[in-house]
Amino acid sequence: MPALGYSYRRLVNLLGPERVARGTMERLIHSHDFASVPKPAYVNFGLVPDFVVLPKTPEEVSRIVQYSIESELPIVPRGGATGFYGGGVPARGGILVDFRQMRRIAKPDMATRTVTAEAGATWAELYDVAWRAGLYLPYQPNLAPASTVGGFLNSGIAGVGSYKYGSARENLVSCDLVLEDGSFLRSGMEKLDVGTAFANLSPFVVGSEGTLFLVTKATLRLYPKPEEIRPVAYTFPAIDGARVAVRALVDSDIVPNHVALMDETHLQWLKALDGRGPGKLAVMSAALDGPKDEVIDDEKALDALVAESGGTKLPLDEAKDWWKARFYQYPTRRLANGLVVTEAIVPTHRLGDVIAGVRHISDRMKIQTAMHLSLVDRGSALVRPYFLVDETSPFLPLRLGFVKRFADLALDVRGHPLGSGLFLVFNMTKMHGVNHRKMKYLKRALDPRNGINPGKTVEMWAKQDLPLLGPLKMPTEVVRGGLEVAASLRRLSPFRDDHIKRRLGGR
Amino acid sequence: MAFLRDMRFMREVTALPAMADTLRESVVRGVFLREERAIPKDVVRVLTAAPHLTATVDNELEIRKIIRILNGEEGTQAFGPLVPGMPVSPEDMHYFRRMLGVQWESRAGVGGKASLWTTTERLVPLQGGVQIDLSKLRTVEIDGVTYTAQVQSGATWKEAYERARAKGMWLSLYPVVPLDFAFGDTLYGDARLVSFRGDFDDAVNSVRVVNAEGVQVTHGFTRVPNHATAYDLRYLATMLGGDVGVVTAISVRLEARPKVVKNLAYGFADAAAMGVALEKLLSSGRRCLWINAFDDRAWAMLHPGNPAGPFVLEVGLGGRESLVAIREKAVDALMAGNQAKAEVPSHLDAPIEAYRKTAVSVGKKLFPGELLSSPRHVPKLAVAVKEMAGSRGLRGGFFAAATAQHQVSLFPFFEAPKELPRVYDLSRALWDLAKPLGGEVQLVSPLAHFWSGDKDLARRVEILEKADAVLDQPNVLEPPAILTKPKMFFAPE
Repeated sequence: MPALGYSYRRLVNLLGPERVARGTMERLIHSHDFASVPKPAYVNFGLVPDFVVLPKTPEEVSRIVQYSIESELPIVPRGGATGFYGGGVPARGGILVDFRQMRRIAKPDMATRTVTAEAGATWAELYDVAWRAGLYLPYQPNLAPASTVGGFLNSGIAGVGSYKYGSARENLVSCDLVLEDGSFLRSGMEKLDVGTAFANLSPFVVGSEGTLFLVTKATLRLYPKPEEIRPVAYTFPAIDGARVAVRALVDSDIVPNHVALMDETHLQWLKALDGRGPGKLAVMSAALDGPKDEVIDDEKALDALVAESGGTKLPLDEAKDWWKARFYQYPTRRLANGLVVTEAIVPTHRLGDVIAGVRHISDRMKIQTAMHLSLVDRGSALVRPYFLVDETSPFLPLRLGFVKRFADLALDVRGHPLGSGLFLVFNMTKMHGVNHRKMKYLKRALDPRNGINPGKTVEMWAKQDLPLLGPLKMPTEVVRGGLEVAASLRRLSPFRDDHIKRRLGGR
Repeated sequence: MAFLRDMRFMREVTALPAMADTLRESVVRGVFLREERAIPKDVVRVLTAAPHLTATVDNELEIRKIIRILNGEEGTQAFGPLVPGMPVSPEDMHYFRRMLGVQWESRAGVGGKASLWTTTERLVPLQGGVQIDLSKLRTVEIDGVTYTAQVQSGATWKEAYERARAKGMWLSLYPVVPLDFAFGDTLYGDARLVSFRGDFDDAVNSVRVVNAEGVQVTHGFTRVPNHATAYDLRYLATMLGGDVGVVTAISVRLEARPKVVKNLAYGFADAAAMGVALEKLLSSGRRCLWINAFDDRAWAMLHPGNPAGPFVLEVGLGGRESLVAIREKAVDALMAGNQAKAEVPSHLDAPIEAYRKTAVSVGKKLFPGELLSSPRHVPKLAVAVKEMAGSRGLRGGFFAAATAQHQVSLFPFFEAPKELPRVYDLSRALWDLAKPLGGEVQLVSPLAHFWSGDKDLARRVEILEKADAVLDQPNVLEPPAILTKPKMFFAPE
């Protein structure tokens, strides 16, 4: 491997000095994503990249990959870094490719109703471009203002709007890729979604977490601009009541764009933060979109359905506020100085068990946990519990046992946790069984050099090397065991979280 | 479905020194039509090979046993780690097979059998080995709580649809060409199921397979969709079918059964008027259960004695009564220019026997391939298909289905014997029709894959071959055909 100084000069020759960073601050900024990273993680993983590069064209991406082959420095693609599990941070340093300068969006094609955007464009920008062209991008990530096209496709998560329109994966026509050898490939047909014909790899790219291919461009499906987008919101005394309403909604013929629930704890935290919201109640927020006459009819039907479940309708202004807040779900982070979010998809009919399970785990671990839920389709819901943490606390790792226990809970109810990235690889064996091993082989077959985002998604590499054996691979069972021990130790803590009390200075 | 075997074989044939001076199209034609004068003997041998036997299995255990026998694993527990049910490394497997005299090179593997083809069967048959007939695996489990259905490969679409309806659920997927497909035909054959919301693959939660090691595994999650769980093996299983495992069951998502269903047929005097109405409807944002388009011949097969016009748009509306009324009024307004409107029962809802009877008459037609298109080209395609038939002295028509994703799947058909030269000729004509339309129309058929000169397609196939090598380490699932005679390791030639 050449000296880093030499690599820096080579990268500067490729991109120019203004688009290659090796300063400590830039590298530290790129060493984490939205989730709070406990300090011991820096001992274990090479989270800080050696270089941060900002390509502007696919050709530059290709040249960076070719240099990584020459220099044996790993490549780590990164979008808006809005993930929760280390998908966009390195495991062992290397060249971090920040795609945010590749953000061109082509004019939407009205004939095929598609739009092509570069990987670094944000979903909010894409939405605006589509809207101005008279079209509609109804499916978006939960952090759309910062989340990039490439990042969200690589994560493979279902976001806002998937209940009615499907996830981004269902609406992906094709993507342009740079492969591990620096060559280019289009994953499918340019203008048509050919399903499984013509060896269409587009759906396979989704969820691969940037460990097989580098997405440089994507063509996505758009929809006709709706005559009406009407947000509606309801309060419930507790989230269990809202859950009953959601179940009734799923069984009905009302198909909202999006349905989200927020539990009492989240609402209490919001109230404590800046007086927002109704306080200790649960909220169900939804949006109906489509032709005006249908929206009006649907709203009436939804009102009746929710009233039967004990919900109270909020005024339109408040409903609009909740709808706007769908992309800004974690202002509560300011109550502490960090937060840990974990996600799972569970069967809708087991939501009650999952809510009870989360509370049980939180109670036993003396952690205060808030919850966001949203419907993915009729049969499944995305559950997203989160807890506030002090990032500087030496005891933070103990709380991470919650992440493991929640993943186990999701698998027990025949759902699955979301994401693998760097920090959640320990779920893979339990989640996929023998297929986990096949995935490792697949990675080796498609990236034999192991140069693209290595040591993640299907395996967990520490930054240390073993003599003669190469990178230290952390066995998933050991990590699981460690987190279980952490959860048990947390139970011994004499202190129970109470962020509201803390916020109010003990009053 | 042996897609990779076909693609690899055609790649090898076109690279043969004997064929080096021949145009690719002529090679494809020679191979497809099995023209013995045009292609070398080795190629003919591969094309005329047949499986050693066809096994009709009753359960998944039998499939596991067949694979273990072909892998040479049956009754070999003494080999330590090579117990059945445990994946082994490629090196171990290779050594193991050598030791047993089971020849890896002989490519004696298993292949699935489609019950029905819309177009033509795969080009290259299984080269010996065991063809597995899954038609007896026909259980349909409807889970009314999780809105999912577990459908075994041999169960027909119609059985699954009726079972879902009986349980108060709705299987939104339906066949564009109303044939009596088994569910496995979507993976082993070319059955095209769509829903108004989108493609078949989008509705699949999981695929249960017996993998190359004889282990029963599920790709994906039976009750919930597969989001963000690393590499999507479920998609590979849906795309490659039998190449990554013997697919025994598929879990698909269901919808709530609409309280009221209304099926409306609008007749149009010409294709252009139908096209305008179709585009308006798809741009209105109205949610339908289906939007189908037919010509008069196709319509007459589904609704004999109920003529609607030379071109027909069939719109399925569902929901509570008030919503259906709103939608009907709106759709009526969008269908301006129609010459007749009628409410007719959908052919999808016909009793099983009646559906099968219709399917038999539809199945007699020649379907050269599927034209995937953006809606604006549908009138052009409809007219071209009629002209194509007329110029060849045939009668032709089409079945089409549109989705909310602004795409139309159009299957032209011709009333002609299913002779390979005719299939080739008509397919080529469709290919030539689609090619100049700037990528907005694409012919999908086995032949279209061979004609495509897209370099990216070749690269994608290479990637899939690598994936196949990983997922089928013993090389027992739909093994590739080889042009040279297999060399035996121990046995003399």
